[in-house]
Amino acid sequence: MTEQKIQAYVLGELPPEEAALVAEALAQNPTLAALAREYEQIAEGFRQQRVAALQQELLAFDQTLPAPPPRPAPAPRLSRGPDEERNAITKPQRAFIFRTLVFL
Amino acid sequence: VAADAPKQNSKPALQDDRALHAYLKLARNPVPGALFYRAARERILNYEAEQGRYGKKIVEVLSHVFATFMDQMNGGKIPPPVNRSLWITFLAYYKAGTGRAYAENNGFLQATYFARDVLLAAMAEDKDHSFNALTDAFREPACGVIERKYPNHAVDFADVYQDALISLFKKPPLPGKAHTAQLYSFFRTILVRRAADAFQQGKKQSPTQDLTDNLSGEGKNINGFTDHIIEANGLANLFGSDDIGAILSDALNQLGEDCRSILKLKYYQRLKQREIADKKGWSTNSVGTRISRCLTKLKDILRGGK
Repeated sequence: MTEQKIQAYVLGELPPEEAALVAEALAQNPTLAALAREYEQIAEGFRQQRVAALQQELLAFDQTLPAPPPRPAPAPRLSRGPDEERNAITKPQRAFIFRTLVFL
Repeated sequence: VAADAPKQNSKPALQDDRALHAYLKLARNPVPGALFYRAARERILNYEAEQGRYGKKIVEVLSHVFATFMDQMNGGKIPPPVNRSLWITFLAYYKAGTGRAYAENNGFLQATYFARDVLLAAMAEDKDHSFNALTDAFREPACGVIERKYPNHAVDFADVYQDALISLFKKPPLPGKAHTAQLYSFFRTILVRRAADAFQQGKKQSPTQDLTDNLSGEGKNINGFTDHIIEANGLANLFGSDDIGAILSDALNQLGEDCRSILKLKYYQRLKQREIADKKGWSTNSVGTRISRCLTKLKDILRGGK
């Protein structure tokens, strides 16, 4: 079993019959399996870099598309107008009414 | 009719998805899979907004998920759809990327018209690639249709097929019309008419059956479908937190220029050994040996760095 074969196996470049033979060899030999894991890390690194590069292209393309829907503004807090303010029952008045009702 | 045409195994309603798969392998401008991304983005942003999620973070995650999806597609890890639409497969990637379950029965996640909509956009904006993709994807089922209607080879399939495709591109269906539910259904109607003309019968064919029903169920139990895809393909591993890409980038910088460039051609640009040989002026065999040697060096650098 050559290192080149393990590389090809990990990087998915072997025909199925050969790949099956390599898989069998890896299952029986922990040293070869450890070597395969190192190449798996390399393959994963290549994948992540390809994805990162394409993502950058996509983000640039995304700038040409309509902007995402904005977060809706929070509902405005209802404030009293000057008339309402004038006609509003104040705290002491409310307390007086309450006391009167209890007394009755 | 081509006698050796392979039999069609996928669901009839997935013809549009098979065409979309073929199209994604060809579409490169302005970025790979741009029209799929644009359509998916619109649906996902609307879905997320409905769930009360907004902001640039969604676009960042979406672009990362789509880049992963396209990378798997280009690496042959996503085969032509047989049982599930490509949109559902993409939703499985998005779910693996976000780690969030979907709200069931959401209109934005329905699969029924996704492939058709992207294909119609491609027919308008990217004619050459979409024509090639549709030509490849529709050939087998179209061949089956003509074989069944004219079993004695009374109609020349190649001529009728070409004619029907040109007609489809000259007058594509409007997405809003009920009879254009699937692009393939529409195309099949044209094909059958063209075949009838060629057969000089002149009588009207019975309207073809709409094939959309099989896909409409995919919007329901969306978590069940996507979970199955995530588990069967180990998608969760594609969205892990380890940043091996950055470590590899450092290691690559420690390699010589020759090794760096050959590995980039092979594993970033995914060129075939023959293409690298042509580019570099080397023999194909020597490219294989050089790549192997460079990979060994890279492994040794990473080992030393641990």
